[in-house]
Amino acid sequence: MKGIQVVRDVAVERSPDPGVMWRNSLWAFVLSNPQVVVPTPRLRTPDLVLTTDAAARFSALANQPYDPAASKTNLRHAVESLKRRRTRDTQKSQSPE
Amino acid sequence: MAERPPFELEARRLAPQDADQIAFFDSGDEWWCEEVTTHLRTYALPQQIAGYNETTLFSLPGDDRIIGFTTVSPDSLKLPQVQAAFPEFGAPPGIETIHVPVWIVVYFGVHRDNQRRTYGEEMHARLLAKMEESLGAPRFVYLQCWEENDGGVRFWTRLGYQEFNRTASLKPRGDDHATLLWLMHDRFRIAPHEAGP
Repeated sequence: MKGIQVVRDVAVERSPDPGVMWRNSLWAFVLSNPQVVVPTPRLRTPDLVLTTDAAARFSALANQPYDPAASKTNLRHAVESLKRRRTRDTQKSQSPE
Repeated sequence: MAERPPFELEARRLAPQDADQIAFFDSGDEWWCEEVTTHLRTYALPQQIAGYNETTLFSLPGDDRIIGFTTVSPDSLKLPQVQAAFPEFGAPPGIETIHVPVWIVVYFGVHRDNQRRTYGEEMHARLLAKMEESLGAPRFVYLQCWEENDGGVRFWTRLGYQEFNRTASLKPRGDDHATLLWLMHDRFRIAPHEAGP
């Protein structure tokens, strides 16, 4: 992958981890949505430009309907579930069986 | 005995210097375990370098031995596939594409000596935390689990994964077919069994 430039994409600029996974997410989106990709033959790199509109579509579709509160709650419950299981493990190991 | 903290493991991105420790990773004797072990030992690093996916290794503090690993990749599913697990999900207004960006857990393994000690749950919670921190992470994450792998199916179901497809696939050795279950997790949905004690 040579690279994908997202024009004025707020999501990418704000991303705390703009690493390979994010670029690959865009790449997967590009492959499945060629109609929203603008080829840029005049640019050597990046070899593709994702328009702001396309980037917005990507974000909207990936997260729709975006619910950060539910996501945080889901994560908190996963951690609490883990704590409960570890507490049970500890109690088992302390039992005289 | 002190209560165990929720996060005991240290995570690091797979790197070439992990080669020695990778050679000792072994997820078990079952045929589906061999596939997981072979992935980490043979394919994980080249695939990561090629940009296909990303592997995270988990170890105890001060000890480089690998407790477990996750390999994750961006992917996309067709909208009807997502709706098979979550019928209420639909594309937002103005979106014409039928593909939904998702993440796939390509491989997920815990070393055989460390299984059934809740490390798998921790690794999954760490994956959810990573997605929570990453603004571009999608709502859905899915994986494929061999139906014969009863323990694996129970594990993922307990974590809130729902079956949305099943396919007949060649076993890794190519000598027979088996059923792959496709399981999906919705990060924006609170599974009832996770909310209770």
